[in-house]
Amino acid sequence: MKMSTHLRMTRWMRTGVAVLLATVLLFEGLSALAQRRGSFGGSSFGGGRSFGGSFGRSGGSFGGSFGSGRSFGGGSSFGGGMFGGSRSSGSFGSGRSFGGSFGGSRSSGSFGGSFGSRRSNDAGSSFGGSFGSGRSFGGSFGSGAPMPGRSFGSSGSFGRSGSFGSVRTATRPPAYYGQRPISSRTYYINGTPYIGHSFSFWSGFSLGWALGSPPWYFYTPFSPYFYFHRPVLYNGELYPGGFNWLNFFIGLLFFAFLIWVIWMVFRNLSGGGRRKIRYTTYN
Amino acid sequence: MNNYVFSTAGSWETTTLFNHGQEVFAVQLFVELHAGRDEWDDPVNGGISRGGEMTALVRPQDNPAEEWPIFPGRLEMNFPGHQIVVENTHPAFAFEYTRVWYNGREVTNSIMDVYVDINAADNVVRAYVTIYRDRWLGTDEVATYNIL
Repeated sequence: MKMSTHLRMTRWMRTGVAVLLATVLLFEGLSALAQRRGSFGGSSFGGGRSFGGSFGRSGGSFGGSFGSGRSFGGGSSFGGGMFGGSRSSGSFGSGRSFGGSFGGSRSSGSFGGSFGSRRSNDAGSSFGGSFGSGRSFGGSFGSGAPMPGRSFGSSGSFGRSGSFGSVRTATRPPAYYGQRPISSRTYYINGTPYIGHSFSFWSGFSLGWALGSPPWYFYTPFSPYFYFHRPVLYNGELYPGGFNWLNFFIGLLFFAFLIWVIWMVFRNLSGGGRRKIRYTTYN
Repeated sequence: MNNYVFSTAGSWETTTLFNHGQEVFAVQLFVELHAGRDEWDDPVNGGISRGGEMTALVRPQDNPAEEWPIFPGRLEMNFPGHQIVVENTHPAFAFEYTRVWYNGREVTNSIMDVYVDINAADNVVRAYVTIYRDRWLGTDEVATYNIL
């Protein structure tokens, strides 16, 4: 079968575009994973230390509780252990959590979290847990920051609420830190108030991610929010996350593709104009 | 109405022509169909519906100067790996009543060329089919299948 050079080139171009798209999506996925601090079920918000796993960066409690120690303090870590961690009804916060996740005796309560058989009295940390019959106070879901001893974190871990929340925590001061905001307002994230600072018109598109659970269309190139990073939580305050260049290029590719498809469909439906024709010969 | 069946396996010994099950001894089978072109003779989708022209004849061995028309009727041509069927049962051989199948698929509305010339006298063997492939996305294709 003999095919024209033109056909081959077109195929190469299509393959190239597909590879490019796949690469971009992979990068996006990895960056999102890294931003989630703790990824698989880890706490993505709250910044609490969780000595439990952390599949990504710090902060992620990897799940269930080993050891028979106790853990006090609790706090919130928005997201708490998920991957493997038992997630039964229970102790978000500083309440008791009986039992544990890994083979824990009683499962009413403990939210999973933590590794190790140590104690911790630190607010914000989540370890302890209970591999066996120990008790765990506070559990791992939670921690963090603003209100020790309490837990937010809604129920879910995957999804928009809870651990994969709509803000990121930062250990370093964000770019806007120290600058004078043009406006500030309070954002409630899972019930907890945070002051969010706006430094320009565009800041709103980043801080908008913190307005409750981001709707699905925030994740599409049609939404301006798609082109901005989620806000950064630093020192208990929210700062704009900045422009998302990666998503910008994804959006460019997406709209270029969309326009191309529309143009092709229109051209074919209308039948107008001189159509390009490829001549091929098959032997 | 004729019902020709031409078959070949690639050599003169294996080449046969039947009409209504009766073998026809011929020196030439010639079919030429052109369709699917606009007023500037450029390829367009539509096949037979765009109009065109067709010549189809058989020259018998006993009198090569004579031309037997094939249509109205049906002509089935079997080649190694290919099959073409052309049918026109209109009594006046109106072109728009032509139907074409290639390898079992009807290509009446996308056919551009059918050319078959099996000439034993001049030892000429040639056959090809050209089909217009309309695509919603992407460039349309004019595909020529060389059969012999």
